[in-house]
Amino acid sequence: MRFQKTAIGLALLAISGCSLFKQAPQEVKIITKPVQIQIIQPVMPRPINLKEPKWYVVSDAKLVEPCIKDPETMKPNCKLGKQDLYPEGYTYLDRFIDSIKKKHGGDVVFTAMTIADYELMTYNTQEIRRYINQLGEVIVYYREVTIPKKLKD
Amino acid sequence: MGATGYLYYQFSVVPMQVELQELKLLTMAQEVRNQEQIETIAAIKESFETAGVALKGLQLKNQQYEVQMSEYLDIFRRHNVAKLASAKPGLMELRFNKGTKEVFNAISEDSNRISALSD
Repeated sequence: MRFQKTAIGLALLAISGCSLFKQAPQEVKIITKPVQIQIIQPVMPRPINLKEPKWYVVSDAKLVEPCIKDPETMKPNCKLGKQDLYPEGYTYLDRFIDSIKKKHGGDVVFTAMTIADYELMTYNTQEIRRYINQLGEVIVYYREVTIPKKLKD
Repeated sequence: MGATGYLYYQFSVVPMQVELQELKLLTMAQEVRNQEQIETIAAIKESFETAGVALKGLQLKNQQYEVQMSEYLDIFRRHNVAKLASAKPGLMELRFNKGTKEVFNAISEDSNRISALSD
């Protein structure tokens, strides 16, 4: 009887291939997540600091004498007459030349520009402004698409 | 009978178990891959949407800047500046200087806005 039990036990072990003692293989977990690459955003350049030049517009138009100021209101009142600041027939060009001479010790030195060239300069300035703005928008675009949403929020 | 059972187990059940395990792993890998694909597609979709919105905004702003420039320069088309400057140089001098100041200030403001992006 004891021999029979032992034989059955051995037979069970033999036909199961010791599978009763085998442990199930561990599951291999592979986790893949899309990762957004962190792009370091550069520091933007400092803003533009422009200084305005002074334009002088001159022609051979005669200067009109300004009205005399009312001593009470301190406002020009043409009823009181005109001031006498300029010589007879004094033009804008004369005044400009005189002011230049005064600034440069009697020398007549200045840079001149025609109205057409002034228009051209204005066009160029506007063109540069447009370019700065559009380039700025391109920077905004790249920042929008490269800065992770979490950081923006 | 024991030997037959042993042989059956070794040559039929064990290979089936191995195959089953392999198929389980394969299914798991497929599931992981599937999930990965779904997440990747979602990320690409989101990225496209963000880029699309940003691009639309960019185009709109660029058009506005073109219009702004044309409007500003239109003053030279509407007026004979040379004639005006000849007749009223004092008045035009004021306008030229005021206009220059305004444009330069506007450029400074524009650059301020761009520089402030990194804040």
